[in-house]
Amino acid sequence: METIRFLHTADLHLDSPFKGMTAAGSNELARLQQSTFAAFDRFIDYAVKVQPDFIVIVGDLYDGEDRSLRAQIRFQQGMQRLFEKEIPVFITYGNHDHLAGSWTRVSLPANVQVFSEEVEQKQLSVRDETVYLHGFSYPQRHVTEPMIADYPVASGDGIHIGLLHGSVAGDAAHAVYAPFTVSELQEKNYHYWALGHIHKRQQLAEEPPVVYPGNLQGRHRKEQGLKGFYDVSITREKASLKFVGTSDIVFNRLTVSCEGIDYADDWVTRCQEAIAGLVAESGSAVVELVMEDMEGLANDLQRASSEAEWLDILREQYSGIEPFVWISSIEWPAVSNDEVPKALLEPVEQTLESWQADEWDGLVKDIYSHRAGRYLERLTPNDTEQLKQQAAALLAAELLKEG
Amino acid sequence: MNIKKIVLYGFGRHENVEINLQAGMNLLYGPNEAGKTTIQQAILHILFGFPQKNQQELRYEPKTGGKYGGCLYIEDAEFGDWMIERVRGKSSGDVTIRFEDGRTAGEEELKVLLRGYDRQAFEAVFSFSLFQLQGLEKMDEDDLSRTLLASGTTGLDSLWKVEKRLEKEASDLFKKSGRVPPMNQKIAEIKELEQAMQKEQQKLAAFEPLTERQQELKKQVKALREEEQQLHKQADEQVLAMQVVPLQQQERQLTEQLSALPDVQFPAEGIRRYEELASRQAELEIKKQRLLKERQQWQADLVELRPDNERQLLERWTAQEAEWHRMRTDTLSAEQEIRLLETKKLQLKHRLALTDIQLEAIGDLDISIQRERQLEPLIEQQKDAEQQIKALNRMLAEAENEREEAEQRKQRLEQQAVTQEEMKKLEKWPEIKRRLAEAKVMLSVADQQSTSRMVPLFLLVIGLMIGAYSMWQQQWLFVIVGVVSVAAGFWLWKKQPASLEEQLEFIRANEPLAAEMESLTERFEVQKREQQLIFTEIEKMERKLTNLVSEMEQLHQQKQQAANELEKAVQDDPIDLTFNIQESFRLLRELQDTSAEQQTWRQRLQAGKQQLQERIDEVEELLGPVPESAMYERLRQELMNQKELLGKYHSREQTLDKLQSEIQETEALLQSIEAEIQTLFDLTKVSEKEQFYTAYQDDQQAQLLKRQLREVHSQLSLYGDEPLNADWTLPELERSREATAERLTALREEVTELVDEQVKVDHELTELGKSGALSELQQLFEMRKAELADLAQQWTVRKAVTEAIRQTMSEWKEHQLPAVLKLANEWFSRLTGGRYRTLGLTVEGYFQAVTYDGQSFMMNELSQATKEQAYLSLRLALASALSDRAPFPIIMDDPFVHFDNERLSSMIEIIKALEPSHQFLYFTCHSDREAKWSSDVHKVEIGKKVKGEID
Repeated sequence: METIRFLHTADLHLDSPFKGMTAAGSNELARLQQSTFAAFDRFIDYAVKVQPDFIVIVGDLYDGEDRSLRAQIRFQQGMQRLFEKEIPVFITYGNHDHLAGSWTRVSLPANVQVFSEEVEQKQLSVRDETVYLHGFSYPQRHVTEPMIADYPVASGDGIHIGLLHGSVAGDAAHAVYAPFTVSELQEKNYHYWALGHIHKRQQLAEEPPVVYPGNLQGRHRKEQGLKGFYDVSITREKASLKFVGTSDIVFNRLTVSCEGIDYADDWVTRCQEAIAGLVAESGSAVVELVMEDMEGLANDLQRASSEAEWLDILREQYSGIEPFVWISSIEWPAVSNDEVPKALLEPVEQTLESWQADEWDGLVKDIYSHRAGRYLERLTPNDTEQLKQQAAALLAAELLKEG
Repeated sequence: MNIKKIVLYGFGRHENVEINLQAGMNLLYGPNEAGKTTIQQAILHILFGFPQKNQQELRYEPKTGGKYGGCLYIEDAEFGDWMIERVRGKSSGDVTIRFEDGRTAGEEELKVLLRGYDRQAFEAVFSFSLFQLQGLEKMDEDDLSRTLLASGTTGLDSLWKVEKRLEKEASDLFKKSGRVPPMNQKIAEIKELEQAMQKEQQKLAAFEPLTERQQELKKQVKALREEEQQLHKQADEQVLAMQVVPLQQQERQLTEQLSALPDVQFPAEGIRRYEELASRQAELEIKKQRLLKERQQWQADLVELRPDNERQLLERWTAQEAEWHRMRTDTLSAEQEIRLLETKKLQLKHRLALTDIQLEAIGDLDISIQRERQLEPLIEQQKDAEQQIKALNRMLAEAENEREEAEQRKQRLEQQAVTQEEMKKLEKWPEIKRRLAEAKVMLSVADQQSTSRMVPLFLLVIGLMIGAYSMWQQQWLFVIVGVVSVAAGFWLWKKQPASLEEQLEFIRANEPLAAEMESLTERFEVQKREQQLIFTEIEKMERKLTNLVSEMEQLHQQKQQAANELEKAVQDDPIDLTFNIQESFRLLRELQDTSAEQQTWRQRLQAGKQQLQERIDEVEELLGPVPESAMYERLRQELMNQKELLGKYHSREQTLDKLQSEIQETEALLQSIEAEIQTLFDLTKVSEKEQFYTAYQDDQQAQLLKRQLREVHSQLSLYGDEPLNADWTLPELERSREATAERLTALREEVTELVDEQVKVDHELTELGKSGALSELQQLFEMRKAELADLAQQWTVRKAVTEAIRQTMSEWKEHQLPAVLKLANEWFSRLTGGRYRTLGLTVEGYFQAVTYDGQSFMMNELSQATKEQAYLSLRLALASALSDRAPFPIIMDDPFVHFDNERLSSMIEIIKALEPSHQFLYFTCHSDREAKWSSDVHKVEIGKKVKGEID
């Protein structure tokens, strides 16, 4: 009974721009942009070192349908290294790098096999075992029909692995791409489902393993924690998975308690300590600081500087050093609005509370009907909830200013 | 929310006042000056703080300076019961809130308890006096709305300000058609980035064509490189031919020329050797001539030199120069010495006062020490005798004197001798003296009797007694004693003289004479003794004088004898030596010495002069006449000349010898060189110089040709043994070579161009591959988008706040205000007994009252009472509308004074309707008003007791 070893990764998003990095300087940006490549290099290094039987990459190798040339060349170089080690690579393209995109093709070495836009099967002999791989590449940006139907049920022999770039049907959080249900996957009797598209690492089922490896490198605040790929050892009976981290920079949300701090200086030190702890654990990081227990400190901080200035002060501590640390934001606890007359605040808050999605849309129509709308995301219920809170906080703060 | 109890520690005129209140209506009655307004103010102060010290409002601090402040006990449906206490502290006072459960709180929580109301807002609705009611006159719709919002003007203003500010902020962030606001700028930036990205994309599109071009270039370059190699090979061959053909021709020519020359062996370096020899021969010839001439010259040159013996003499004299000078000095010093001695001699002669003849004689005078000794005692003897004579003379004189003195004393003594008279007296004296002594004895016995009369008596008595006693006792011895004593006594008694007075008289007459006689006797004795002494002395003197005279005579004789002897000793001398013999002898000796020394010096001078003259004579014999002083100079000069001449003579001899040997050497060399030249000629088989040179030139030519031939051969050998196409001519070769070169140049250019392009294409491809420009732009694009989103969020939040405030306000205006107005209308109508129907707002937003007939009046057009009723209606309607949010007590300060009974009754009805939701505190000074209220109204009388509890 042969044990097959392969690496499963997806969503490389090479050369992807980082979202939401306001206020970062060019040095920081360059450092961030390198990180997708750095993570990819770690992946290749690992492959070269352990020499798996093959590698599957399930979609979204590139971030844009225009496929950054730099990214393609870096990818090609990576593939070349694998080619030298005679490691076969199986690729499907996903919604981000679909086949309809216009890009300059960089020829890939012979060890790389790309799935076409129809579901197809590729075959590979590893020692005494035959491995069948099933998958397809996105012909265009949107594939909303469930492609799962086109996947064949596994025949009796060999090891079957499904490559599918898409999302679980009915998941409201993500747009619909090649939707499927776990049971649909299970019905195909494959030994492993290598999924892509969702950047959060997760295993949807054990039997057989249905796995989103997540992306190799987080690219914005929502892609938090250590990212990487799976090193899979599989037989016809069972599979064992090992997660290997590749993140060059880790996005993190870090809660800092300011309990017992009375002065702004101590606050800076406390934040630095917390960040140092984080960096010691996971290396370079983009940190979203969340302040807690500010009672003792609130006044002192406010007196000394504005919140934005405190962010700047803290950022300065990390400028130009390695490991790289970028503080993306500081979340301050809401100011207690005891001092603000409820009689004033409450009616307005009630009014805000009463607004429905339509009212919000009406409110922002000025900018969304403007060409600015092209560059802005649509408001989600989540957003409006946040806006509501911010508005209430702003009102309270402003009223407080009025005294 | 009701006030249950008011406690004032000290407030205005009130001290330690406690007022209990109840829910519903509380009627607080008191005459003027009772302190009603003070209590009303106390409530407001405690709730909202003491006024600042610099404000117009009164602080009501107790004049007595006691405790300031008080507390209120509150019943609160929402927060439970609580108590508020405010006392002196910071300027608004220190406040303490205490809840039922014992929890305490401060200002912060008070705000919540007061539902966010400040004093102004509170007074606007809940606390009013007649005066304050009139404030409503100026209210317009907005003011009313504010009041309606029940937050007081300040609070609402804040909301409005916030609204306006945020609206401005929002429009500062974004304007639909603006360019300056940050969001608009951001959008413009994003658009630019988009365009830049497109451009970058287009650049990247060049990647594929460039790759193809790269391949093509590779092929072309390869083909050209191959051709180039071919051409290079061809060119090499041509070059070879170009070199070999001329070499072969040269070889042929050289061989021909060489065979034409004679074959003679010319000696190696023959010409150089010959020329060297010839030049040396000439040189030697010249040298020989020069030497011969030189010898001749030297021989002609003679030297005048003195003979050796003369030279030796000269040398000896010169060596003796010191001696010569010494001799000269000696003669000079001898002359000098002689002169000195002469002077000395003269001095001595003067000292001795000699004549020239004496001086001559002196030379033979014996002045030896022996003679001096011989003379000396003689002179000494003479001297001694003289001295002794002198001494004797002195002694003689002295003796003479002494004798004289003794004579004189003898005379004096004779003058003092005793007289004759005195001598007689002395002869009588011994008789008188004897009688006198007898008289004295007698007298002294008489004296003794007077005293010793007792003694015999005593002796008698004693004797008797002893006799008696001893008789009685029979002591016989003692009887004898007694008898003796009686006898003695009796004797004694019997012995007494007879004429005592006679005796005494005698004594008295001779007594002074006794003393005189006594001293005279003594004087006579002394004189006799002294006379004796002087006689012996004079006798002694006479003897001494006689002795001295004889001695004198003897001495004169001696002296004469010594003088004769001396005379005899010196009679032969030419001068008198005796006078100061030692000095004379010394001077004479000196004179004799000087003469002798002078003689010696004269002899030495003579000898020295003679020697000098001898030397001069010798020298003059040799050198001719020469002055004595310059002689040695001449001698030295002569000797130096001679020495110089001798040196010259020697060197000339040497030079001549050297010249002779050199001449011989030169001649020998000349011979050997001539032989060598001959050998060279013999080798070349020639007899003279010209022939020798010709032979040499031939040989040189042959050598050159041979060398060239060797070179050609060696060059040819480099091209190997390959046979060459000898048919080629040089011009042909030249032409084909040029053609090849041209082709090569063209080819090279082509290759360079292609390679350049290749490099460029490679570079461009790498650059494109590496280029992060697009990614950077994308990143920037994302960043700007995020920034835009941030700004949009800020904008939205501001927009939301503004909109929410606006909507809330309009909701109030549109829904709550009409409700209030409706209630106010209703109450106003009721209060006015239906005379007025509504209380509405004009288009301008001011209040107006409308009668049942439809006539409308502005507020200031109404009667005082009606106006007040209108305001009251509005206030109470407001309070009613706010009862949920602000269930505060309503505090009124006599607002109904202008009301007639009917309207007052209506008012009371309305208040009654409000009582469940609001507590009323009604301050009044009109006691009759009480009657109007029903009996269950809680009544409090103020002012009866100024201090202490009121109830």
